[in-house]
Amino acid sequence: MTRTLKYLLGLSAALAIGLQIASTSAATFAISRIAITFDDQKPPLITERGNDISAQAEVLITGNGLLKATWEVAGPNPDGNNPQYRTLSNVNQPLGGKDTTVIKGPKLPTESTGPYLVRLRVTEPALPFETPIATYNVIEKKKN
Amino acid sequence: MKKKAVACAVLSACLLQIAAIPATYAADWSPQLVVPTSGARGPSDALRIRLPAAAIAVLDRLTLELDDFDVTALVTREGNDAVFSSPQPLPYGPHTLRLIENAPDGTITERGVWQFDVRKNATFREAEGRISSTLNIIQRIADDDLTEPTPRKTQANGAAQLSGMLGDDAWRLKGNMDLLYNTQESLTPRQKDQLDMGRFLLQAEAGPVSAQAGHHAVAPDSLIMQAFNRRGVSVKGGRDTDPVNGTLFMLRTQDIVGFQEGFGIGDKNNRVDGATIVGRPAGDALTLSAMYLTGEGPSQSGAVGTGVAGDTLSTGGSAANFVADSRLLDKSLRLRGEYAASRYDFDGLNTGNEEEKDDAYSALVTYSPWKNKVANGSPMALQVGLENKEIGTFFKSPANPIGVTDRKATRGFGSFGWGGFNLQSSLGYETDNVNDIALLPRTESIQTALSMTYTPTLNLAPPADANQQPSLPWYGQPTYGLTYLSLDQDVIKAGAGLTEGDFHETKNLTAVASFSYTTWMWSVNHSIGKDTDFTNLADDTETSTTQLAANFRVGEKLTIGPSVQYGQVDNVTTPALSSETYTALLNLGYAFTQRVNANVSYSVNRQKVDNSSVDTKSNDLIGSLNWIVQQAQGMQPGFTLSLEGQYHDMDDRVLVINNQNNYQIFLKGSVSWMPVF
Repeated sequence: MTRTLKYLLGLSAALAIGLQIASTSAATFAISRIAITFDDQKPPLITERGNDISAQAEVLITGNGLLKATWEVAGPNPDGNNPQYRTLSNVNQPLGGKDTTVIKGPKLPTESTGPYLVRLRVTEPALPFETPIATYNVIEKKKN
Repeated sequence: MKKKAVACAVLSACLLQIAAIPATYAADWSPQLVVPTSGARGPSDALRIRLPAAAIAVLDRLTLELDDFDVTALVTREGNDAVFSSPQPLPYGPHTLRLIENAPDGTITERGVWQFDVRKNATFREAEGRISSTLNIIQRIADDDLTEPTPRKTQANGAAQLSGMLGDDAWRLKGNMDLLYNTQESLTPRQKDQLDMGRFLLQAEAGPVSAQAGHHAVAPDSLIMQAFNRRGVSVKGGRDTDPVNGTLFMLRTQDIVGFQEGFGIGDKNNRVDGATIVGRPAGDALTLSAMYLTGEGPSQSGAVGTGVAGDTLSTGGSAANFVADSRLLDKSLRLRGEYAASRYDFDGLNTGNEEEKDDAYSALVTYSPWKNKVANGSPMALQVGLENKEIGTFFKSPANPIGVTDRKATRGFGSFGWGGFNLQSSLGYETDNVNDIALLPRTESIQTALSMTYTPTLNLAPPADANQQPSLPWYGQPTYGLTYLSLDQDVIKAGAGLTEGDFHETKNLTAVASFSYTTWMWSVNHSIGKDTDFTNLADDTETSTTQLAANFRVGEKLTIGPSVQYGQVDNVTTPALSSETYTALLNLGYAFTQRVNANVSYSVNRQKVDNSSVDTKSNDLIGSLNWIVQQAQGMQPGFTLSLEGQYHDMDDRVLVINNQNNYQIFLKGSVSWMPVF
């Protein structure tokens, strides 16, 4: 049985706190995966100038709790080593009941051509991995 | 007039016929479809039918059908030729053209039937290539206080979408690929080289056999394969419409992009191999499918550039499923059942404990009782459904990175739509600790979801001027929305330190209203949430977020888009951890001419925690002035000259090392090329 319990603890690997609770429903609130997409398309995305695009994050969680995060964008043409992110919107959302939750992001800027970086910077709960960053590249609009 | 309409609608032609029928109307004659001189009939080539003199006398009785569609109204006459020019290019492939004579007595005589191919040329039926690309050359002409080391003053970046297609009667090749270039290597997908690749897919088809190599998904979502669009190779025998088809696949477990790993199947330690077979014994009414897969690798995390981050532990196992999916009663009733089993090593391969076996099932019933129902002039639709599933505590598939585990759930749901009103609701009950492990607790959860939208139909008075749109009421065209979500969780079996009783409760309510006018719109969105932890392991919180947004078009040149968002988190357990945030955005766009435009975006963001552990304020100003010297069209490249600027101010009153105040101004030349071959 010890082995079984160990497996379950492995399932909820993000349980740095509250190890006595092992089932994913009763586990301490944690995020085990974030996948950023642009509507239905995966990064890196290429889109035309002026197109309406939005980011969304597919967040895999254990337990229940409050997600505090910020949608941020850098660009066009950010410094790749020190990108200066600016805030587009804030997220304060209680999560629970589902293992995967989709956090919809705001409309993204596409007025200028070039690369942009997008991220959902999570401040609570603490992420056990680096914040994922998605890239989109704006190209010129075709003449109709 | 050289060109004259050959025929009108058949009914009109009959009505216009005089009682006296020319003795020649039934004369035997045969038209001839003129063969194109190039030897191949292209998508935009006119179809020319040469008519004998006897046919000219009965032009009004002729009907021309292309692929069973009456195209008579689009036919013109050039001498003795009837010429059909399609307003849209015809698709590549076989087509049927039919010329019919409708006699006044009702007799229909088929005067000619031709099967023809639309082809690119005599060698290939289909051949097309497309490039959509932009290359930016950027010179930073001014800056202040940038973070060291500063980027190079002269930079270049670009992106290109390539796609192509080549095919003949029995085969077809298709492909697409994204290419990305940046002199800052850290901005390319792998962050290694200046030129890199995004995602790609190559497809080949020959008769009933098809193959794909690149990023693709091989099957609809199921318990063992979900959200699994990966780089790899698959070969399929049979078409989707055939009674049986099967697919063999090898896909990389971890999502990757860029010039690396070829087709993604070279590393057996990071690959999922499998096969699926699909049978349709009763046509569309019943689909049976089965899949087996085995694999290993870090399925939870993606490589750099994929936008995916998660657990990097390499795990693995195998899984199989069987699915029966039927659509009955004119597709109004759907019955779907799935059984799956898996063996999975959760703690990493070749280390720790061995793999565990488990199984899962799901059953789904949906029913839509109404077909094309209309009430009070508005369409009305209803769907109800019931889903039951049980997923073992140790059930896991290497091809389902977001798969739910350890759940026994029943959910009822329904949706109703009538005119501008839509309602969706669901009520679910679930428990965990499915395998009834004695040391672990069991929780039960009741989940409620309710979502409504309503867009009322306005009775607008007709405008005085027929060229104007009806004027909207003072509140415009409204749309209202309401969403309620709740989760009530209790411990029903003590274990692992938890006692029976209330465990957790989450509630969230969002109300939205938007109002649209001819040249502007505004919206308001308010959301409140409450998260209560009855075990005191986590803090109780109450949240609220309010957002106001608008968009105005002033004249034909100016657009204004302001928005404000205010959020508050009230930490009930530890008030000092309460926080507030606000963000204000203003987007401005101005078109001086069709070729010269400017955009400005200003944003301010404030984040503060009551105990002063976080206290930041940032201001950002982004702007560009663009002159489209030449717009890309066909083989002709386009060129745009831009002046761009960015100002960034970060005031962090806690971690002053984060403080920044800088600006940079760029001169940018953009070359675009978007040819179609």
